[in-house]
Amino acid sequence: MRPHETPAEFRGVPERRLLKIVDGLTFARGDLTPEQCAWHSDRPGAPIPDLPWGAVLVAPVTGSYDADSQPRATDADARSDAPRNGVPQIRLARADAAAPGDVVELLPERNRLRTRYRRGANANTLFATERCNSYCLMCSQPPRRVDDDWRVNDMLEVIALLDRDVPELGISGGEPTLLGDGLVAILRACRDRLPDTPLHVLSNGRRFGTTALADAVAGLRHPRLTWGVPFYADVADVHDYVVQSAGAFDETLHGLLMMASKGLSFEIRVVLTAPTVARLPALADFIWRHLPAAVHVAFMGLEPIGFALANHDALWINPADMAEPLTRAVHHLANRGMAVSLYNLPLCVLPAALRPFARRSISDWKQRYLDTCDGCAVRARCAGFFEWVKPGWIPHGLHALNAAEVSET
Amino acid sequence: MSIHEVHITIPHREAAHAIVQRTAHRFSGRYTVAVADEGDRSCVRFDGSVETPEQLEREFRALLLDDMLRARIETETASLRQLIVEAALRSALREPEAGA
Amino acid sequence: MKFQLISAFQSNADSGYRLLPFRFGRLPDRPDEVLVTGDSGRFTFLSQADFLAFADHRLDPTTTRARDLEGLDLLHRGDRPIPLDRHAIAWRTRKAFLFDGPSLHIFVVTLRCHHSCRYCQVSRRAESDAGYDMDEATARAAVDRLFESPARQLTVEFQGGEPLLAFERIRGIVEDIAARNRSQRRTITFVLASTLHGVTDEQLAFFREHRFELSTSLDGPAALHDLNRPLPTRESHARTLAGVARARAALGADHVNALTTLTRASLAHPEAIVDHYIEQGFTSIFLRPLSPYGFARRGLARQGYATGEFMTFYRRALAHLIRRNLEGHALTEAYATLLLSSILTPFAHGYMDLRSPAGAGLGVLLYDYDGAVYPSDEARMLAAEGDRRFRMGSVHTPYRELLLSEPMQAILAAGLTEGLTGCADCVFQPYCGADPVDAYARQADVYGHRPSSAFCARQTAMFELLFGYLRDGDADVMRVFQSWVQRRAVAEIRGEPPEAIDAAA
Repeated sequence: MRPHETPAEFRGVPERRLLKIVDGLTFARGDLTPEQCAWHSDRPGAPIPDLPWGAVLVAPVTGSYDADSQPRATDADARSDAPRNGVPQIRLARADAAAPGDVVELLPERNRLRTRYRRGANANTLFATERCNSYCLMCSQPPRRVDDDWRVNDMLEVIALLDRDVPELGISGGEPTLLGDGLVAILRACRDRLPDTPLHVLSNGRRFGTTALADAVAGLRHPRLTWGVPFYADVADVHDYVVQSAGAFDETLHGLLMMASKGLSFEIRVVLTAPTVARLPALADFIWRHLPAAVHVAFMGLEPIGFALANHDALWINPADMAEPLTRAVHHLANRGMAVSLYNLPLCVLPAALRPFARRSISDWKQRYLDTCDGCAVRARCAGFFEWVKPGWIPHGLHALNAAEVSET
Repeated sequence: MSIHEVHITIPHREAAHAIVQRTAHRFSGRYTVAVADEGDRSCVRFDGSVETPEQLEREFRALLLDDMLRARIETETASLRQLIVEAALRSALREPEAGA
Repeated sequence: MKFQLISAFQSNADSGYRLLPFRFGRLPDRPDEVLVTGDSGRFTFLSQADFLAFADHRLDPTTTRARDLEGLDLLHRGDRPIPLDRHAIAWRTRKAFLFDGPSLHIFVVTLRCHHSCRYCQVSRRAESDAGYDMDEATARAAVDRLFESPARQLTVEFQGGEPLLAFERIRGIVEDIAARNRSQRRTITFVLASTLHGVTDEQLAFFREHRFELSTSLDGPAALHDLNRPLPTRESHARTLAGVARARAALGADHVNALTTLTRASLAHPEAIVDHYIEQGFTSIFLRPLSPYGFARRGLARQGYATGEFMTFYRRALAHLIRRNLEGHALTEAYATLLLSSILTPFAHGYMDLRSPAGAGLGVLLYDYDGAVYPSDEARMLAAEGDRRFRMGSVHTPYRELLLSEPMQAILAAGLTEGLTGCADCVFQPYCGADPVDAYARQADVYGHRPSSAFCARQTAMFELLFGYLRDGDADVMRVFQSWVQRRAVAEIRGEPPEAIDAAA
């Protein structure tokens, strides 16, 4: 995930880098000390409880600002926002950049505030590492060989600040299992602080086959943990080619089988690319025969970002050209009682039979519609497009659906 | 009119005696079948009502070809099959709850 | 950024491929195609030419065909080690019953019965005969054995005679089991096989309380049923339906099932029998051919029939069932569903007669009214006729000794289709089973002789029929089959147009 950053002006030096935004209700319901919180003062002049807050947020000066404009202090604000008891103050460029329940990272050296968790968003993700042991042709987050083990403690701190009733949480990367015991510590922290929160970890599963990770994770007995594992073909060469890593198929399959035999919950994620669509029916049968314990199978349209841009010609296939194998694969699994979804595909380019499986899968903050979508009867439940969609990545045959077509779905 | 005894001779260089026996066994519900090893060949004797001996021999030779292939495939895959079963039993003993 | 082409991930063509274990055969009406089945039950049809190329290592490993066969677990390309785990786990999953111990425990609570069916499978006694009921000490000891079995999921089935004639014994056993299970915490299903004639409200309330599955016998329309099941009053059919109605009202329709026994008289009426089940609101029918046991064997000349005659009946019945299902009547055929589940899913099934190793003793224990323990109902029939060779011991024999008894040694030796002549290399082996007691009853030999075995002939014909349908791949038929296997409405099953099989290649 690419965290949102907002320009912010700092007065005073915050002691902590990570804080939770609170108002009275959030603070009262939570279990944090004032030092862990940033008081959210949404009305200028409203009284600020006299507690040793980690920081106090103040709203921007009246009027709207462009995202990049610097906030300006006025005399009026300066009066009410004067630092008290040495509590640092943060003035945001936009009032909606932070709200109670959010967890933020303070970047005073850059005059920025970074949102690490946003209450109410339809997806919140912890970014585990930039490293990866695969090198997928369409990677949206190209891996880097860096030592970022510091992220373990960083994530533990974020988790400690989260609402206890977080509706769901994801962990992605990079390959999170490269953190080893650090990942286990993170999962344990999630289990202890957020036992009711569904936790979704994106992993290629390879290290489940080659290390004792499966035992360690099974031992946690996290009640709501699901692994999302990409699996692209029923045969090794096609999968290994897509993830650009010889032997990956065997390791991932071994990892998935380990997960199944340890009773871990996993879903299978199939990115739809030109090299993989022909074998989708065979893959569906392979999953049914070998991995029937999968709680969900998601077939996902390409995200035109990262490595995908460089590999457009090898990867791109129009949805119309995958309709036949995709329909067979989806029906094969659905008929056998498996949960199936289609992600990132606009409804209008799917055969009517597949539309019931399509989900509005793209996170709010990176989703958009095109001009063609104006007047479409099902726009509200359509995945639409990634914000950064560009020519060459737009399916043929896009059209606004009318009410009659919708009734078929 | 039906013939009551049919002989089919298969040289060992065409098919091993054990394979001829396997094929002959498949006919033992329809006929009384005897297979003799006569040095360099196997001799199969069918007793019973045989309408067309040529048809019977064609059928026998077709099944024999399949059985020769089966024997070859079994030889080729037997050790792998055993490894798979051993691995399965090992894993089932290690994870008594698994396998359902 | 450097990305490699797919060729970089393929083993070179020279390294070829290795075969994984498989079996092959042909369907009678498709001599030019080969059915190939892997050990874990996955299958494909190949043209004769493709099959020979595959088996002779002549396939180009870079072709789609080679990839398809690798995805089906039939070959492994390249010279790297073959990962065993997926094959081992698939095998283990299909043999899951191996690791459980006996899960079906049959209590024959009485031999008394008010019917005198000519084909009756049990050596029945008249309703008023004394001395043919299970006594309390026997029942308590049998429950000891039940809980000695390691299986977490247990089915307790009450049989007779007519078990309702010994209802108080059933009540005692169920209450004993329920009390002990408060600490044992097994999942237990109770089943009662009964005519349901004269079942009382008190009995039904008891069955409801313990969530019984009731299984009765309904042979078809009244004329056929009453011909098969004579009562002095000639009203068996009416009384069965009355019992079914009351049982449904008390327990819910999904707790009341019926089995069909087919006599020679039945064979002319496949459609009428199927339609009768639909009219009577059943969702499953089990078209059982007559078994060779007990009194049935004596009546065979008049009521029996050969496998071919049965299959003629069964083909018509199945075709009619498919039609009626497509018309919206949800009625499954239990035996086809069982075989299709074995063919079309990765899972083990619970049917004792089609296991390898055999279900007898390893999956089932039967406690007779007199305290004898048998590995199956068939073994009890033989004993009733005077041949006690399969008597494992008594209810007072510890479980371990029962399972190590001499009859079990014989069953183990002859109960593995993987090792039986005629089974070991049969293309249907992954879906079939061994039943040494049945083989002995039919052929006086626990190992059996496949080329002359009526069981083998029927199994082979059934598999050929079902695989014929699967090969044809008619989308509607496939939807019906999937609806049976998945226990869902046909309307919920979406079309899966079959992939073209290139049989001409």
